[in-house]
Amino acid sequence: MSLEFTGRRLPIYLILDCSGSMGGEPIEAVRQGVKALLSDLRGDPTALETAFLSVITFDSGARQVSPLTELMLFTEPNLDASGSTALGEALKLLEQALDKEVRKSTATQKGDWRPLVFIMTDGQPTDNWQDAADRIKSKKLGNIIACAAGSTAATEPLKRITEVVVKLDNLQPDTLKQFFKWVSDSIKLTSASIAQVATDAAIALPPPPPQIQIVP
Amino acid sequence: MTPKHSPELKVQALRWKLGLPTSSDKETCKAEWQRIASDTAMLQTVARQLQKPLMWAMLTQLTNRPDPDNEWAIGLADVFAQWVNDNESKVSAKISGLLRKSLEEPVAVVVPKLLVKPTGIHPNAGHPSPPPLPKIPQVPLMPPQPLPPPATWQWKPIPASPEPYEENVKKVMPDAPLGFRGFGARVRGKKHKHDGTNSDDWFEIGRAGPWTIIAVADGAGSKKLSRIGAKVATVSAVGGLIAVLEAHTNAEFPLLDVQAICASIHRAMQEALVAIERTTSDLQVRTDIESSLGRPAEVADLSCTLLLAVTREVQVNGAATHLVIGCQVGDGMIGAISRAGSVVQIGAADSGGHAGETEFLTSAGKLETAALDRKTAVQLMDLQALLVMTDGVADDYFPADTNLARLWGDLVVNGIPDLRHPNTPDPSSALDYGVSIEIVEAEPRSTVYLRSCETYAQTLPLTVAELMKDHAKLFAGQKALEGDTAAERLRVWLDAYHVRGSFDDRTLVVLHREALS
Repeated sequence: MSLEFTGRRLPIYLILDCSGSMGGEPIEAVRQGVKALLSDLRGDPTALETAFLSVITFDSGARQVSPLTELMLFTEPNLDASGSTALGEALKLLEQALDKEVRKSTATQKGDWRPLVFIMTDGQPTDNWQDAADRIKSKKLGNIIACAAGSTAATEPLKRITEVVVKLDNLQPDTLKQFFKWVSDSIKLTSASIAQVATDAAIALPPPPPQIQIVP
Repeated sequence: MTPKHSPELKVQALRWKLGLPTSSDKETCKAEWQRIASDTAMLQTVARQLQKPLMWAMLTQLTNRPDPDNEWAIGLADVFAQWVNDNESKVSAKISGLLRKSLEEPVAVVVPKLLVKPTGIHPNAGHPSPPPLPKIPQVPLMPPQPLPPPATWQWKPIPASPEPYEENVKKVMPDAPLGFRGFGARVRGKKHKHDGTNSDDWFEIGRAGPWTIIAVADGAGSKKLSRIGAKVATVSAVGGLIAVLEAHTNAEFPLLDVQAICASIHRAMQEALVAIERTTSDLQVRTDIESSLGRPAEVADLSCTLLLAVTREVQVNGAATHLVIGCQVGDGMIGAISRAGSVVQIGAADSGGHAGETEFLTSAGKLETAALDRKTAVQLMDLQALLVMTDGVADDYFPADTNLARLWGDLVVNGIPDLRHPNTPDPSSALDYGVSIEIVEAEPRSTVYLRSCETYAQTLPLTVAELMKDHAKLFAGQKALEGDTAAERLRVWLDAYHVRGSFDDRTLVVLHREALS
């Protein structure tokens, strides 16, 4: 008997900006946030059974530091901040990962739940991101929530990727902590095993805390 | 005894100051440290020489990172000391080694790559008053914290308002056709139990002459009143079909009438939606409903899937056989097993590319005749069992063509349906091949011992498909669960069986031939 879980997984992708401006407190708060997210999800039995996580980081390049891994086996990746903001590279990697790692429903295969993608950036993208953004948006491979973190973060590129864009006031530890708590609540809310949805239904999100504004 | 003022004693003094275990006694260490600390020049030298390699050593131990950022490293001392105390032996020796080395050797050799960026401290700078040590930044690295234990499934009761439905529903068909038995059960899924919310499934069974009518519905999980939709839809469909099928109860059932029956089933689907719309209007005047939603009820709040199956015995070329007609909107499954042991899925589920994506009665265009035609299937077969279920069960036996037999087999080996066979089952000879599972319910929780036909087949050894054809062996493998009726035993099984990732409401209705021969 195979040990691999062949049931329906909830794939969760975190796309994290690790550019130089995130150095010091912000990247440390992101590390803490990822830890807190894992701990929080471990308190939810549905997430324990179905949540699979992956982390893609981007700075002057992009890399998938954690392939899609089940919650109980997931260990936080090392996160360091330096370099520029290659959002386009990250989106290309995301597209490849969604194509390769997420299972679609077929006559004989149980498809995964619609993937949840959280993108966080604190600045302007520095590479050619437009094509990658358009492709991601048109392929509708998952529910994407993009976060522009801090006063120098650009929301227009994010709006090109997804309708659901939020803005954080700043990169203070407490603000980032609230953001990751909201990410966890969103995951639990859409932890979709029995939240049957009509095929193209919009994602439901919990109300954001005061430090997070929804960008209309 | 370590000689005074030796490099080794300096190392021990530093270890003492850091709160690390020392090989010299504490008084000696303390004295040496005070000597170092009172001599500013000495202190600066030691600090400058050791600070960076010490921090580097700490970080290497903690994080396996060979090239940490300088300033950030400086803030680690307290936390690292604590961690070292917790992991004493291996690490302490290594730190001593590094400390010793850095005191004896020139700084440039000991400290690779790290140092070059000026921080205001340089070993050879000729400042009259030495610059202060850098301040400890505000965000220290946390030592590895153990993660909390993984959560377990809780049980919370159904909210008292509005419109609470029962935790479990079980029904036995009081007047099944001759030679047949019918029963059904639906349980609250683990997720609803954990969240303390209602089950969204419902089922109804009806009878009209030789016809058995089964309706099963699953309310949309994201819609708060969908359980009401599921109940209204199934009650309406069964009631409507009983009325229509009473005109088709002759023993002689001409197969030309099948078209008319299919049309009646389609009408029953459409009328189920009308019933939902009427109920929505009724709910709109209820203040408890409005306050629970924050607004008046809409039809979409009652969204649900609907599966309808009707069956009767018919004569074809002088031989008795069964006509089975199924129609479904949404997910779930209608499946049938023949007496010869072969399986067939009647119809197909609506599903999208991802899990959970399905259609509802309330979805646009689902109830037009052409659409319903595509979702209707007709079978003539020598029926052993007809199974109608929501997705909560169907998904655990997916895909149907290879798993439907296993579902019927699991019901049989757990003694759920009341079956007759020329042999007498001998419970003592049924091998012990089950698993113990705790049911998620109010304390105290009960534990049940569940069997699987797959494991039983392996003990014989046979494949599941072969076991389905060997009724004597299948019958011999039974060991009944607790429960006076088939419906109660089914309830226990639905509440208990475990599949990872399966925590939806579970509903299953079974019509089966009593004789397993």
